[in-house]
Order: sequence, then structure tokens, then C-alpha cells
Amino acid sequence: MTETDIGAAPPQVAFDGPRGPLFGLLVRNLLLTVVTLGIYRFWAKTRVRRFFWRHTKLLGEPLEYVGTGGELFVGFLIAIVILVPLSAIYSLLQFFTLGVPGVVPLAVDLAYYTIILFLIQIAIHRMRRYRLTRTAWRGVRFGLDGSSVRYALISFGWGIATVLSLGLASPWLRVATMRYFFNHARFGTAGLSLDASARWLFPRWLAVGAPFALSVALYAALNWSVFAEIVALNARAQEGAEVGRALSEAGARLVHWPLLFIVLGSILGVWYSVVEFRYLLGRVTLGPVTLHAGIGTPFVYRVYVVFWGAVLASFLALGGIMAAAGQFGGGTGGPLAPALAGFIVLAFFLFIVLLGILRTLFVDVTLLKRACATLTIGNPAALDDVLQASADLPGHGEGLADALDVGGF
Amino acid sequence: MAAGGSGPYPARYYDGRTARPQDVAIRISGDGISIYRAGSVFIASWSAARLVLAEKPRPGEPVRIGLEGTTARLIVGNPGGDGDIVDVLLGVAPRAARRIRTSRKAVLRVAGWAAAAAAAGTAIVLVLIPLLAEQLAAQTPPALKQRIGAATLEQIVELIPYLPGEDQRARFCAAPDGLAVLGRLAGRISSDLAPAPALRLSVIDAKLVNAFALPGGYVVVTSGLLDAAESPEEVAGVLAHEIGHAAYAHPTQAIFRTTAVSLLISAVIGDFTGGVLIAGVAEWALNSSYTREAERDADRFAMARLNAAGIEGRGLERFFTRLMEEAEPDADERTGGDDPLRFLSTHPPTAERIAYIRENARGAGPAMTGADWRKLQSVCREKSAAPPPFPPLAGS
Repeated sequence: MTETDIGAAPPQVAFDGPRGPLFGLLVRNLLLTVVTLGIYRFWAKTRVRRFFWRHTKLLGEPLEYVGTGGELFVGFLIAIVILVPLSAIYSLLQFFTLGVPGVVPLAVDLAYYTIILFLIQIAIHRMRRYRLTRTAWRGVRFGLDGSSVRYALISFGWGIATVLSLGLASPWLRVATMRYFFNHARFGTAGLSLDASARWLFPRWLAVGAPFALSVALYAALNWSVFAEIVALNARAQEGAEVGRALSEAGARLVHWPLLFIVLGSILGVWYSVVEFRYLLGRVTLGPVTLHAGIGTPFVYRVYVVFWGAVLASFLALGGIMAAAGQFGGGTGGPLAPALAGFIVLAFFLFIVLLGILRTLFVDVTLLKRACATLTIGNPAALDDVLQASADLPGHGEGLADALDVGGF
Repeated sequence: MAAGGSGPYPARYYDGRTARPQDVAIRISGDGISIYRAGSVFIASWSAARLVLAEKPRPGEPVRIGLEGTTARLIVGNPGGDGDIVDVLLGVAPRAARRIRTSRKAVLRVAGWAAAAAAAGTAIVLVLIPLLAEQLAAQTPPALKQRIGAATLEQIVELIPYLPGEDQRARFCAAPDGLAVLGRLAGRISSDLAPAPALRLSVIDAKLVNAFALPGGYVVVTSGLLDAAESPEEVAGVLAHEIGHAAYAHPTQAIFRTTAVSLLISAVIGDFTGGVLIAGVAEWALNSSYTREAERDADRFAMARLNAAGIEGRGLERFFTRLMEEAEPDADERTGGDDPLRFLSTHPPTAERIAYIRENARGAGPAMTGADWRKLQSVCREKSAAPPPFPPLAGS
């Protein structure tokens, strides 16, 4: 990689987190989280964040994460107070409407999931506020104003529009939520702002959506007659006919393209998210300070191809070794069969668990390094004049976001 | 420059009020740190009691010193060796090495919360959940229980063809004389019970060996169980056990209980969106500890009723013993792994349960006549897609 040889001057932005210590940290966190039945995760997250923040340097000075695991834990307890009664009411309603014909059970489900989706949006804003207020640089804290309910309303409104327009309104959803976030985010007393337009993103979104929609349509057209047959068979099954064999025969005639959808979706999706990232970040300003994101799609593609290629290769290799060992051990009936089966299950389980960690090390870290190295700050001297804000901090962590499974680190 | 202490050390200073870096010199003394701008102009002093290390010091990296309660920072180069700045600092402020963030009070508060949560969790699991489930089940209107039982039975019948070894859509066995025998047997078992349980008996045509009770008095026996039984007393024992579950309203309680347990586990794991392996394992463990107790209650009920009806109670013992032998570890290899006798159940027979039956079974009479037994065994010669009329509990 040649991301550091931009002359002799140190890069304006850099991430220099070494993978070895990060690997140790992630493995240690995983083990402790498992043995504490998940309770350690708040302290685990805090340690990972401290690592990532400490190694992210703006103009040579690292970010500092000043949050604590205790804050996250208290936030989690508060989230329980909100979510447990909500889930209990939902369970009781489900129970009392069990077996009731008509739309009542559906309405109960719809109401519950609407509330949960709304809470997720609220949680996202509150989570960002927590993280920003716990981030300091050059002795000055970041912050996020605005109302989480307002953010949720914007996100929810545009979300409905996106669903109704079959995804066409997606750039507006993205820009509206990002605008609300950046326009209420600040460094000290200096407010950030985002001057982005969904109309710039829309043609690019179409360029991604159209081929995907076209391939879905083609898939549906090719399988149309089989779909119709399966629907008819299911209707007959409702009347008590024996259709199991006919159903599996019809299923076998379906044209399957799962891999095509995954590959096509990934190629298009990666391109769009890089374009969107560069555009949105490039439109962010902090007073006279500007940003320019330069990360290129070829690099991102290369990272993903290398990583998933290596994963696939090692998965096949592991399978091959297991098969060979199975032959050697005397097949399924041999004396070593149970031990061997246990070993295979364990090996694949470890592989899956390690996959998340390896992904962080070789995808997330690599991309973060590149994104930082290609980020430039215009007019950085103006940052010297930023003043600390004295706004109140939220006293507790992002419990709702944790309980609703929002966000990565 | 002020006298006393060590230094000066060159440092970069962020005062916590602006983001402007300032090049300063610092002196460390017993009182703390004094900060001077170039030209020896004093600008600030940090008292030793509030000094903290903002990061764990790493050899070769600058030391980040903080003032507790602020984000102000002093960054000092640290070549290490003699006069290591960290040693000097810890000399005047021994508490600086501890994390800025976790005060002892905060740790105590978190520990207190955690202990309270653990105590509350234990109380919820041991006392509140069983009590709540029992009360709610008692308060549930019979019409609702019946609707839930009917809906659940329908789901089970839909599901059975997907189980290993089942190749057809499960149906209800509907020969009226066979069902009448079952009704008479249930009547004998539950006679003179107050209140008399409203039982809805069904036989479903499936290979698996099972019997279960559902909310609303539904008691279901599979044809596989009738085939596997070697005498009518074995069926009577299983039936009495299931009627026990129905009489204690265990199935309705189980619905409330499993809901409460999954809620509790979601709360601890912190995942309300579901799908975590560890949650499934914990849920299974908790629920099966509850069901073990329910099984004991149902066994007690079965023995009392069979003794009162004068039916030989050791039929249940023989049945359980056979099932246990079938469930031996290598039974799968012997029977080719596709053994229809496997009792599909969350609560398998145990030596303890068998011993209890052996000690408490006192009845010696037959459960039914030979003619009735043949009728019951051929109840599946007629089938229907919908449940046939429930047999009346005659015979008492």
C-alpha cells in the first residue's frame, strides 16, 4: 500500500491502529463477553472505541474517547425499563388475540413493529449524541444538539416514502437524515453543516437500482409459471390434497440465482456507498473548514475481493481437510466418528466466530486507514479558534441503541 | 522561572477552552504541575490531587496528562530511561495512574446496580414467573383458552408432516367406537374430580410416539403411541399423566411462562430483536427446569387417579422403561437412526420418575376389556381432516 508517501509532510488525517494488539483485544472481549453472559459487552465496546479513537489522528493529534463502560451499562438498564413493559404488553396482546380471525392479530404486530422501528430511529440519534459528547480532540469535546424525536419523525416519514416509491426516494431519506445529523453536530461551539442535495445522488442511485431491478424482473419472468404452479399446489394443500411430491418437483424446476443477486448487489452497492460517502463528506463544513474525501472504488473492491476470496478458499480448504480426515478415520461408522464429528463442528464454529474478528481486522481497519489517508482538510488553521462548549452532557450511555441492536462499535 | 521540582519539560498544552495548541514548558513539583509559556510567563497550575494519565503510558510515545473533570491535556515527550516523566509524575501524584473515568463511587454504583439486578433476576425466575403464570392462567377465560388450544392443535397438525419419518399430512383418527373407548377411559380417570375438567380428546395419525395437553383441556394422543403401547394400562397411564397437566392448567401456564422467560433473557442479553444463540440455550435451560416440576405434579396426579380408579399403575412404568431403553446412546445405530419409538418430548422419562411410579402404583385392575382395546387400537381406520366430535367422558 502506498497511502503514506504523500511527500514528507505528515498526513492531515491518519489511522495507525496496529492489527496485532487489536486482535488480542477483540479475542479477549469475545471471551469475557461469553463468560459473563453478555454483560461485559459495555466495557468491551468501550475498550474497542478507545483503541479506534486513540489511533485516529487529525493534524497529528489523536481523538480521545472519554466514555465509560459504566455509562453504557446504566443506559442499558434504562432501556430495559422502557423495552420490557413494551414487550410484555405486546406478548399479552398477542396471547389474547391468538386464534382471533381477521386483521386484529396483524394490527397488533404492525403497531408493535412500528413502535420498535420508531424507537430504533430515536436510539440512533441518541447513540450518535453519546458518542460525539464522549469524543474530544485537542481538549475540546464534540456534541450533538437537536431532538431525537424530530430525527425519528424525519427518518420515519422518508422511510415510508422510500417504501411506497419502491426505493426511489432512498437518496432523499439519506440526505434528510444526514443533514439533520450534521447540522446539529458541533465541535466545541462550532457547528458543522451539510450542504448536500438528493438530486445529485438520484441519477447515481438509479444507475445502481435499475440493473438490480431489471435482473429481479428477469428472474421473476423466468420462474413465473413455476411460481403460479406452487401457489396453485398450496391452495390444493389447504383443501387437504397430498401435494408434497408435486411441490418438491416444482421447486426443483425453479431457476436459482442466489449467487448472482449477492454478487450483483455487492458490486453495485459498494460502488454507490463509496460515491455517497465521498459526496456527503465533501459537502460537510465547519465554518471555513472544509473536507474532501478521496477514497476510490477500485481500492474498496480490492479489499472485499481479497478478504472474501481468502475466506472462501480457507472454508474450502477446511472442508477438504475434514473430508480427508473422515476417510482416514474410517468413515461415518468408524470408532473415531463421534470425536471427528465434534471436531468438525467445533472447527466450523470457531471459523464463524473468528470471521467477525477477521472482518474487523482486514476489512474495517484497512478501509478506515485508506479513508483517513485520502481525507483532506481545507483551511485547518481555522480549527485553532474553536471554543469549548459548556452544554450539558447526557449522563448515561446509549442503552436503547444497544438493546435494539443499532450500530457496530 | 519558578524554582523547585523537576523540569522544565517542553510540552504541548490544550487548555480545555479552545482547540488551539500551545507550546509550553512545565515543571513538576510536590504541589503539581506549573505551566509556562515561552519567556517564563506563568499561565496555569494543575494541582497534584487532580492529575491523571489520560492514556496508559506506552514506551516511546508522548505522555498525555489530564486534569480530572476536564478535557484539558498536556502532552509531554517521554524518552524514558532515567528521569522518566511518568515516574516523576507518579512520584508527586501516585493516584494519577488510575483511570480518569472510573471513580470508586462509579464502580460501587455499577456493582450495586449489577448485584440488585442479579437479585431481582433470581427472584423473578424463582418466584415471580411461576406465580404470575399460575395467576394469569387461572384468570384466563375458558373461551380464550379453548380458542388458543384449537389454534395450537391446528398448527401442530400442520407441522407433523415436516418431522423426520412422517410422510403424510397428519389427520385426526375418527372411528367413533375407538374414540368412545378413549372417552370412557378418561371419564374413569377423572371421575369425582372437582371441578370436573372439560377434556377435549383427540387422536392424531402420526408415527411419532407422543401425547400432550394444550390449553382449553385439549388432550392429544398420537396413533404412534397407541401402536407402541403393549397393553391398555400403558395408554391409561399416559392419558392420566396428560389429564393431570390439563387439570393443573400447565399448558396455559407454560405459554405465560415461556413468554416471561424469553422477555427476561432478551433483557439480560440486551437483544430485543431476537436470534442470539446464547439466548436460545438459556431459555431452554430455564424452561426445562420449570417443566421438570410440572412433570412431577402430573405423575403424582396420574398415580392418585389410577389408584382411585383401580387401574394398574405400573403400565406407565413399563412404558417409560421401554422408552428409556430405546433412548440408550447406541439405540440410534441399532435401529438405523430412524426410530419411530423415540418419545418426542421436552421431558423424557427419567429413573427418578420411574422409581416414583413403582413405589406409588397400587391399582391392579385392567384399564378396559380386550374388545375395547382392539377398538382403541383401530381408531385410525377412519380419518378426517378436521377434528371429529370430542367423545363424551362417560363411564363414571
